[in-house]
Amino acid sequence: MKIIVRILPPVINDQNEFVVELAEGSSVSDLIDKTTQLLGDKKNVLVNEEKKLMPAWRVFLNDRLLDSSNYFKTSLVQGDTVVFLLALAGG
Amino acid sequence: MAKHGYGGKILRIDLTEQKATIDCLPSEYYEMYLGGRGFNSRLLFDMAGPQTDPLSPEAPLIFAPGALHGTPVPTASRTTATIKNVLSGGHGDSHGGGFIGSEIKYAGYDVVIITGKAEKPVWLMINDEKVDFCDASDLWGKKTKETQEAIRKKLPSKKVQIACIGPAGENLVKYAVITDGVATFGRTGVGAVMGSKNLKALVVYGTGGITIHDPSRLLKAIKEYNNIVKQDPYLIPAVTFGSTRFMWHRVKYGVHGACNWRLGEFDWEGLSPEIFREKHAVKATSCPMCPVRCRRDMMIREGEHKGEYTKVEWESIARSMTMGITDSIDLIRVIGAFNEMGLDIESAGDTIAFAMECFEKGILTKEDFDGLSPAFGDAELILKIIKMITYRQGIGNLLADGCYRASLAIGKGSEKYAMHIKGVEVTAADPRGMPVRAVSYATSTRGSDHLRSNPYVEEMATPEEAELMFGSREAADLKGVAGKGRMLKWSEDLVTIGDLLGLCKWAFYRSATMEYLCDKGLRLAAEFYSAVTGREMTGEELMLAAERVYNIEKAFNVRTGFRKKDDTIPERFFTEPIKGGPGDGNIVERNKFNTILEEYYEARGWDPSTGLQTRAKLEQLGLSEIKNVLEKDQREKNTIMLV
Repeated sequence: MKIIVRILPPVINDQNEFVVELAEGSSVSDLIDKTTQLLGDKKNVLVNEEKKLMPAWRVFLNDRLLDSSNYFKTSLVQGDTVVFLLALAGG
Repeated sequence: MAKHGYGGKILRIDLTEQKATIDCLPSEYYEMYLGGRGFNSRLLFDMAGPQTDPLSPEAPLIFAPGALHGTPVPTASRTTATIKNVLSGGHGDSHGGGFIGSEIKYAGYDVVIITGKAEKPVWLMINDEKVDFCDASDLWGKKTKETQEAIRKKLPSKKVQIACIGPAGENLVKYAVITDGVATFGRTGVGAVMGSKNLKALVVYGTGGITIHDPSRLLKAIKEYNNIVKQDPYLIPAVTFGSTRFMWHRVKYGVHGACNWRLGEFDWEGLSPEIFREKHAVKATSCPMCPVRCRRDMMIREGEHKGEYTKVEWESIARSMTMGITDSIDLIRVIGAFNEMGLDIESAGDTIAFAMECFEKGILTKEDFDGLSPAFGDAELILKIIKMITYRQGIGNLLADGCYRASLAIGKGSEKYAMHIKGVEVTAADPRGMPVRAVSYATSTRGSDHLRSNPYVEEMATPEEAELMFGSREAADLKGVAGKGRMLKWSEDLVTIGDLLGLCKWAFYRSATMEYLCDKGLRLAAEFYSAVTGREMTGEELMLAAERVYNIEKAFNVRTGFRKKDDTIPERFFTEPIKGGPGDGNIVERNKFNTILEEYYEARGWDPSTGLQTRAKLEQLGLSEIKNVLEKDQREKNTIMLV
């Protein structure tokens, strides 16, 4: 299935929207892993040394903010839009 | 005092007598308050009392560059301008990230204090120990850019730095600014104080330098800082988009503060970061020594207003939404007008939005607006109101005093539409749904403010970090309560370090992880200070200095009459849910607000029931003199001022 991923603000070569292909029944955790792989040597922007999503990145599934403790049990379906939003940290 | 890093002297200018004197600050000032806001807050406490009229000749206008300003330390560009707050009557200050501070340092000064009132308009030329009082009759009435240009024509050296006011400052608009061409001292009415002294501009040219205690140690720390900047995801988009990037956050949480802080859903697409970048951005500029370069000049490239340009920062976009503006060209024109007249966009935006809502509700009428019908988003009308405010024409005369005072004068229930805290208009994002942000606005010592703290650490801390640092995993939850008061206290002290040392709050005191934040804000800040001055300093000691300064400002406000009841937010946030958007229905829950506030007072060592400082805390911080002043006031006025 295809999932639309947006990274806001764009932190990787200005590219803030791409499509990630995942197996049916994949979770948000799976999406994070796949997205990290796609980022290659720029993955450190998104994940820490333990390969966990940095807490400053909040995840929205179809405009709904997810609790980080639910990433692994939140299933995705074809056409979902997932937004990684960097913490405001001011302003 | 430390020999290295500082100018070493203080310049006192009396405009009434047209006299300048040079002396030194007591050495304890350097030890206890470090520089910048630290020097100024103590000086203001000593020089202005509860009865001092902020716009009177005796009221001081104090400039102090941060301790590291003028050195190669990255982002060390901030100068503090301190006054008795024109809007609140309490502590007031504003911080600019331009070049005027380094020239003050190079001229040999750590502080410039201006008192008195010139008989006729003047501008000041400070060249090392020489101070000239120059006739400003040809400059009076000029807008900010015209003033800068006119002064530059008079002077042979291009190196001079100029901090000036526009017509708003001349007309004592209570939220007038001082601008140095790059940065603006925006808040609390510093420009009105300058105008009240008949001072159009402060021009500084220093020929000295700043010595560094250990250049190789400094260089090593600079490399470490630059490495963090390259890795920290928070800073990468700042390079690309500047501060316009904050729009995405507003959109996802629905905290625009749109149309006088009512709407969570707003037609924002015309103000998107991409539009500013692709259609309007002229160039990225920066404050001195900044590797991030987040400043942006924006230009209108086509149509009737082609060629108009001005600098646009995030808060100017935010307050434009508060006025209902949805189009980038309208925004550039309106922000340009604010900048040219010398008005604080935060206060002016909220005050205009207040007037619009009063019109909507029938409290103000067309007659009040010279036959106009104000409507949210109507740029032409907003431009007319800006002019009325600047020149105090018609209803503009009331609005020039800020939304709080205007609402008192207007009455008829308008008070509930005046969005202010301690008389100072609300800034940043809508706090509904994010309780610690609401409390942070309330505890700021200069009135409503999002830069007095960094409650945003709740977004970047892991639950483990939150538990370790603030005693509760809840502190890493946006809606959590436990630990948030301790987190707020910690973050207030943390960002205050930036104001003491002159470091940028964006590039130094914001990050995507706690690790980066503490590494920069504490360890490297201490390393920079130690390398520059030769005085060994730890992060904990920096936090202590910051806590001292926060307590001086609190004591100033207590002397002025502020109490626990004033540490609050506009009632609208408690009772009116956000309309539409992702935060639809959110309010600030009063019980959560109060719980966080009391935990905050406890973390500060203040009395939770009254919010007042304790003798023990002031003595622990080495502030016995401050304590003695409060005790004297308490005896004389028979009012409890500390416990």
